[in-house]
Amino acid sequence: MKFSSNGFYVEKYEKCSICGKLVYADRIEKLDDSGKTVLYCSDWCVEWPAKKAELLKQREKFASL
Amino acid sequence: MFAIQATVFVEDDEVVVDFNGSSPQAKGPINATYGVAVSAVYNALLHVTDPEIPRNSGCFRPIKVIAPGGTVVNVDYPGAEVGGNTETHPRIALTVIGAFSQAIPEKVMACEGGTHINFVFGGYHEEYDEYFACYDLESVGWGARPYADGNNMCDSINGNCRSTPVEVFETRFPWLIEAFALKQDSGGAGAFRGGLGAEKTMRCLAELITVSQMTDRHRIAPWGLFGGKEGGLGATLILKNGETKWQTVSEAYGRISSSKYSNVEIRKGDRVKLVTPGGGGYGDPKTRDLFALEEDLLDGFISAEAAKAYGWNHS
Repeated sequence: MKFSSNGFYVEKYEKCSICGKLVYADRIEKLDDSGKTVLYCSDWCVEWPAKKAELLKQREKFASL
Repeated sequence: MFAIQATVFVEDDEVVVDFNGSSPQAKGPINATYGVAVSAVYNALLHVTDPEIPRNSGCFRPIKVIAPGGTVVNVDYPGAEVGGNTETHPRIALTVIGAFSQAIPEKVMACEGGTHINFVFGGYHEEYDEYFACYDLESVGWGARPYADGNNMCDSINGNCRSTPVEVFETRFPWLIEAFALKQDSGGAGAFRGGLGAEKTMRCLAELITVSQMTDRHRIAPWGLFGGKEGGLGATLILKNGETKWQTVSEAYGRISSSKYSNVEIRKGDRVKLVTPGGGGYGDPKTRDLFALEEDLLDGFISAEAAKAYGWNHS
């Protein structure tokens, strides 16, 4: 979230690129493969895409049994 | 039409509900906020787990919600979202319950009506010499469960309101309630039948009542589970004074939608019929207990014609 300099209103709503939660002071910014800055609310969200891919792979394996 | 897609992961001590794949946010006010999406997920999980778990932050800590911004489950500012709580929350919650049906069929229910009807009206009361306004919430049929029929006419899954008694409604507002009853055949057929919705017919007694509404389930019925059939659709119908044919709001007033409209003018003598959706059924209707089926027929919950879906062919 980007507050105005006087703190009275929100200049810009910022959401975690993964979970969609509003991001305030606690924030993680990383560069993606194209050099664009991506915003996360927590380490959990940074790790989620890889974890999700792994879980989906496991599910496919299980479904094919 | 807008889609809500939920992929549920139960891993170690976490439940993750991922809404990637849901539709981009709508122009109209059906979008949910992040808070609504999260509370709908909590709602769903509380329904499929132990009801005695205390509702506190510890209870919700293991649940993670992935609701991408700019979708119908997490609208970006300045998108419209006033209907997200009454109309989209139930949709989200039942989508998650539907996802769980694949893993824990013994703990879920079929789809409930999923709308609060939101019939909003106002005008001038000549008898009381004052203006009036009302936000009328109506109830829907709930989905059948693996062990019981759905509840008839209950406020939708995130609701906390009761039906206004007819006597109070008529005293307060210039409507005459000509009929208010459970709607026959609105409960989806099943081994366990979906709960019934309702039908409420009102006649306008004032010179003018201005009406708006945001509701749903006029086109897509609440789903059944494991062979259970869909619940009945909702509807808002108008019978203008002196006419004989009921029409939808679209037909009567040229509106794009009969379920979402504003500032329709209801005149003295006009009638409005609110039909609320029923719940979906659970299990094959042909396996329904015969005694329960007979009770439904005797109570008027189902008609002899509808009983054929249960394999009933007695006269």
